[in-house]
Amino acid sequence: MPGRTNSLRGFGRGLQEALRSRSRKSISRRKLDSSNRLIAPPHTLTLPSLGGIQSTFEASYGFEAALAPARILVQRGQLGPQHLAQADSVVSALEHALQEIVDNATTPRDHDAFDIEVRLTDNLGPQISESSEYLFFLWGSDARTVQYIPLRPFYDQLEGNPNRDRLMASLYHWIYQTTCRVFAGFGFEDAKALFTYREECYKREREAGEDIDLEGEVESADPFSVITYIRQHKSLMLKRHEVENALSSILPIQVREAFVKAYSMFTLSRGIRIPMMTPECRAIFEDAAYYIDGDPVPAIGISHWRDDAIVAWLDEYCQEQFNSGVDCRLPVMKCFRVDDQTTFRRLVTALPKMVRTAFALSEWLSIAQKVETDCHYENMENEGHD
Amino acid sequence: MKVTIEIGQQKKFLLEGAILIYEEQLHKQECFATVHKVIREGPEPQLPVLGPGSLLTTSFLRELTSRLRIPDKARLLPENVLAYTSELVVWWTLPRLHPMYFSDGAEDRREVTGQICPHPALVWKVRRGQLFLRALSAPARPRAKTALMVAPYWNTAPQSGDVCEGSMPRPEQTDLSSLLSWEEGFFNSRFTHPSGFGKLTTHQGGFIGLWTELVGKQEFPVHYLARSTQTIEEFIES
Repeated sequence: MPGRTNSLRGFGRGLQEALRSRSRKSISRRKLDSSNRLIAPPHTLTLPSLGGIQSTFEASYGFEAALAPARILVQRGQLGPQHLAQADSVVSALEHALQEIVDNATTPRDHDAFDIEVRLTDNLGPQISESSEYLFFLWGSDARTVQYIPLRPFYDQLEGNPNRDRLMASLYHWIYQTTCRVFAGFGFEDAKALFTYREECYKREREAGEDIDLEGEVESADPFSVITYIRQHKSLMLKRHEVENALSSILPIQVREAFVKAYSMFTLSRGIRIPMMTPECRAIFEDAAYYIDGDPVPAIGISHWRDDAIVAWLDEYCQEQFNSGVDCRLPVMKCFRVDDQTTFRRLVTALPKMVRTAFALSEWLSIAQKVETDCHYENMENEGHD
Repeated sequence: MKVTIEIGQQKKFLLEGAILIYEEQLHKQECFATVHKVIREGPEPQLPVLGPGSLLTTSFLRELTSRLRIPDKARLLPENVLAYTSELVVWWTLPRLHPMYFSDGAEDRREVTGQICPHPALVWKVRRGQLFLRALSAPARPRAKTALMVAPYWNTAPQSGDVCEGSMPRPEQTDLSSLLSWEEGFFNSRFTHPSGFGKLTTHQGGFIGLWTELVGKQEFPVHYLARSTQTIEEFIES
């Protein structure tokens, strides 16, 4: 075996110098070397990469609750390979399928004035639920935007029409009832309820010896002072067989079309069948939603004109809601068991009609705005002030 | 109009740090560990690279163990459980009849092995997987100041109650579902030798005399139990 020599003869001078220079450096073994010395391979000063090591992990769990709804959509032909292809989980596939149901119910020209979100979730609260036995179907918006429809422009344009009051009573009824199918509405009944409640509170306090002033702005807004066609809409509204003739008696085309659309969306909304919660699911829901103690914010307020008692109470109610700081419930919140196929089927059946109704209401808001603009009330009021 | 589905949970874990362990190669008795942050720099895809290391400290380990720890869930305790934490479970059992098993040995123990004998009420403690055993002089749930008796068994240290488990079958985890497994493992194993110092029983014939007398009896005579120096409170806290 050849002996090993310490001589550096035969090597280039530069290399000898380099090696001598390195041998003079001593490293204290009592101290920990810098990390790159400890772990770097001897031929490089770069830190080793972690190539080959799994540097990310993704974990999904608790998605079993999505299986039953997904299975139902598959059975109905509403979830197929196209949804699976663009999904990385059953939850994602279900989301794509439901989104398609919603999209198919609308046209690209449709506008959503209510910023609605459709949500299917296994928990309502900030705390993540461990139980996947129940699901919650939610519909509505957190935006707290209240739209207002004044009916006066339509009333004014029906002057001379023999069916004026009955048409207006029907219009009020159609819009209010359509709204209440998919959102919370605010109209004569709501104003009356608030007024009666407030009046009873005052009476009780007066009987208890408190000096209560009933002459405030809102307190004196008696809903019984609102225009007759709204106050007596139930008795005035057109019977089904009278509608067609009454509608054709409207001369201004724009107004007639607005009435036709209102009746059409009212008829559509009658077909919405949102299933009721079972007592068991009601209890689960109330438990889960205990922190959402505010009532839904009205999506649409409807009255004759901005100075009437309905608007006064709508303002009062919304101010209270906004100032109280409470979380408000969404207009549609339904809890159902994961294995309750019937309820989910009904919800999926109702969903396109709900979507179409919401978009029809959005469109009607635009129509109402346009009709009001065309009436030039601003100019008339200014003239009055002069 | 947007549809959102929120069912279940999705979590993403990203490599954030690494621990490197170095071992002395000659005797393999010394080692140290360094902790490194993982760095991602440069153009995509950014490969993870070890950052500079620092010596691993106990405070780092404490933080790591607290982050790795699974949070305790509230549980309904069985009636016979006296204390329960993530590392400890203490429970008591009523007197029972059960065969005694001994390893092969002298003639005297052969007469007892496999025979059904009465056993006293017992207090069991498992701390970090180690079994401890004491006896009770009365078959009732003990209170904090109840004086404990020495468990009259071989392989059980009279001073501490520490059970030398040997090859005794034992559950892998210490939790409320494994209590019966500990009891069965203890009674269905062979006692092999006395453990530690101190009296196991006050019986005049000693340990073998006690169990020879008990063969076929229905009730364990508690006056044969030797007093330990511990109360329940001390046993739990020790």
